[in-house]
Amino acid sequence: MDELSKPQIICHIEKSVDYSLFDAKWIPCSAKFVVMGSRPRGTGIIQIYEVSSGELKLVKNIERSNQIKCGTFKASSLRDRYLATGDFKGKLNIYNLEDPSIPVYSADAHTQIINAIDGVAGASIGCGAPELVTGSRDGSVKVWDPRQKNRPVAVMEPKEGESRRDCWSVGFGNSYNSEERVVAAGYDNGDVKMFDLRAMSLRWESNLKNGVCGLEFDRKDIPMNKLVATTLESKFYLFDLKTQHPKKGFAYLVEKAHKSTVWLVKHLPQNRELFATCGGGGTICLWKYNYPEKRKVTDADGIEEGIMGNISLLQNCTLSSQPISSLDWSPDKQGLAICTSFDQCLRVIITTKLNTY
Amino acid sequence: MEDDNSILMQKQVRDNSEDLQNEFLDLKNWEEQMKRKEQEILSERNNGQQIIPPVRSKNKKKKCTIKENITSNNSKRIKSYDYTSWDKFDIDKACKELEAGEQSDESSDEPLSKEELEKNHSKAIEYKQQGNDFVKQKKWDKAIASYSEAIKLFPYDAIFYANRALCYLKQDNLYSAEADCSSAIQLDKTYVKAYHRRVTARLGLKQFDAALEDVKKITELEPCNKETEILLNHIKKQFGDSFMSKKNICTTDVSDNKKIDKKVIDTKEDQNKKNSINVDNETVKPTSPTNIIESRKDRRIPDWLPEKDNVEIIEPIEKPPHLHSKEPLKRIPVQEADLSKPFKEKIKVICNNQVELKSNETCKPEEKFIENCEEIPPIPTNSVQFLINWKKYTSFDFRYRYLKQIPSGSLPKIFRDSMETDIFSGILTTLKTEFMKRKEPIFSYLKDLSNIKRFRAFIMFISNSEKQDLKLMFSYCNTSEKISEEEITDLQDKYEI
Repeated sequence: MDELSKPQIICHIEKSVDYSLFDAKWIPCSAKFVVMGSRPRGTGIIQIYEVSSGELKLVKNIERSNQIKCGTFKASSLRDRYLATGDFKGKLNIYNLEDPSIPVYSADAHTQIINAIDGVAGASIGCGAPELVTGSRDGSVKVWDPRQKNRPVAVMEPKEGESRRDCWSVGFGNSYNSEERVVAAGYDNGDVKMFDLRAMSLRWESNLKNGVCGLEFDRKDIPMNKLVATTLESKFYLFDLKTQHPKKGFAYLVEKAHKSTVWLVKHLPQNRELFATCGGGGTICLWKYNYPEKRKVTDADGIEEGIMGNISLLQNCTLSSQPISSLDWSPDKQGLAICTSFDQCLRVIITTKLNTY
Repeated sequence: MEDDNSILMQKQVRDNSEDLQNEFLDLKNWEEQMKRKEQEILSERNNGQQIIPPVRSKNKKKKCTIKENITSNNSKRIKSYDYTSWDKFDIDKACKELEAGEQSDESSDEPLSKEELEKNHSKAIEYKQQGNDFVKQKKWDKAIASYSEAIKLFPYDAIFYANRALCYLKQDNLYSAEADCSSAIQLDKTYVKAYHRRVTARLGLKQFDAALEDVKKITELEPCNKETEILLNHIKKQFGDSFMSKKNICTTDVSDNKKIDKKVIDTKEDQNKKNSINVDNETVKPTSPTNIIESRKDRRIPDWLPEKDNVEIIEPIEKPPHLHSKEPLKRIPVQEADLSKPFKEKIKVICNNQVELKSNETCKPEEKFIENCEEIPPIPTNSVQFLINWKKYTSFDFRYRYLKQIPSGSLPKIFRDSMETDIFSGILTTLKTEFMKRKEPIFSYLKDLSNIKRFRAFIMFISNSEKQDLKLMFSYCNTSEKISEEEITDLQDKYEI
């Protein structure tokens, strides 16, 4: 009974391709999306597809010399819609998809593969300067401004001599005015670090015991509210960022899901309390966070402390036999998403009844 | 209660499917809406752009970055008397660091403005020239290095990629060739040469579908390109072959393929080098070994073998390049043949040789082989085809038969303006020796030759002995071919005799 009143996750279109898919992103303000990946012989590929009446139409095929790991549109304006990509050789490129032969911006960002990229303040998501953040296997997290050639505007990396951990995930948040901005980064040893870019300081750090595969703020353009971090061994953590206790840090809850690695988390652009997590078994889970009655209490010493609400699983659906490498909700249509998995398939999925939450 | 439940359930199932239907309908509307919106965005110019704060200032970053990597300054000088420090000092490393520092400086200071790009481009073109020179000398490795240098400096020129692809093709590095062609095409969608090379590469990789697509693209771009037809035929044949069992391939088919293959490659060579036609067998070699193996397989036992029974046929092993043995080729000492011994043993050695040597040298025994088979290639349609066959087969007998099949009046069409003196005199000698010996008509040939462009230039360089020959030929025309005096004198005037 209850089952039937829940949202349904339906695979609308499935398409298999002849290369490995690593990332997919909707092109803002269009029914098109890009997928990025690597050819078997070790070159990179970007393809643009258009959803048109239940089918996928290949719009463009862009071959690159380096395998492409990740990409984002978040740091470019709606008019330009430039795609920023990170590749296996550590290069950061920004492409104009209308004329992709020459990148409009290119920098040797890292010495090794760029695992994750995120952007802010492009298409009015967040305020301030348009910036990109990249996290790499070389252990550094770098912030880039497309207006400054070749040099990052900020570098966060271990001091010389300290061990360099593989950075697996990065994300922007707290960008509610033109100064405030934080970057969160997750590492393979389970470290999560939050850097304050205004003060240029480490705001908070924690260790989640298992490698942090994905993390995301529920919104980039508001005073930071929630952060979800997914880890190996089927756990994800949800932090309430409203109140930071000087000793205990942020309040959080842990949830078990997927029975395997939780690869990534994506919040619904239309509703920040809803988010999807994708697992190693090719499953997608849809979650809803329910706030507690009061979000903070004052303890005996007069210091404020956050209180967690609870989390409910709305739907669980198996899409593929292989891990899902990426998922992206359409910013323009509620419930529409594109996901790629390691079975070399890309899928357009529809989720119904999201408007009821 | 139970009833209620089931009714409710039914309703929900119905609702769900309705929801889904609505969702799909909605999606369709949304697609259209998005298209409109996109158009609007594209047409909209940036009016009233947001004021964006400046780039994070450098000073601020230096001051506050938390864990910023402070590169330890190596500027501490080592005192000249401090030998232990000097012992520890790694010069190589220091040099490398210095270089790296310079490089990074260069790249970071480079604003990549238009001027810089142009500068790089002109530099890259110099490298390209260098590469072209290497290509002319057939130093593929060096040419590739030059082109790579050019690409490194200026990665946005399709020609660099296409040229490098040619070199890769010559080296039989088909994957790289294909990738380079793809890059070239991506930069310049109308670059026919790149498509051409990709077709060749893809044929080599047995990607017939993709090759076919490329050929179609070429015909789109250049509807009157004759080579595309040849290519198309080639693909169709190969494509068909891949479905047929190997036994069904008849010998003529294979040899045809082979010829076309050679033509294709050589015409390309020709395109590349324009008028410098140095087409000789070597240019064919890199692609021919596999073909040769095929033809040998079909012929099985050549006719010149005295004993056709007790011959062991060694089948060629076809492996993709990455599976090839890494061991050096086996050397087989060639012994002086003892004529007193039976012939059989010697032949065995030859056979072995042919299989073992997968290098270019296999071509040599093969050539003779073809000569023995006495297959006359088809009528040439352009000068390149003519030249290949002409140079390949030097026997007068062959040349005679080759010329014989060319219909009168077509020589000027074949050659257009790419006739050369040595070919010209070669034809004349063939006419004189072979044709006259066999009492064949030669007047039409002489007439055709006189209609070739730059004919007057060739006549100017003709030697005295050749003039004598010509006189002889004209008298021959008069006597045996019964050509009227008038026509002959007319032609003689043209030949300035």
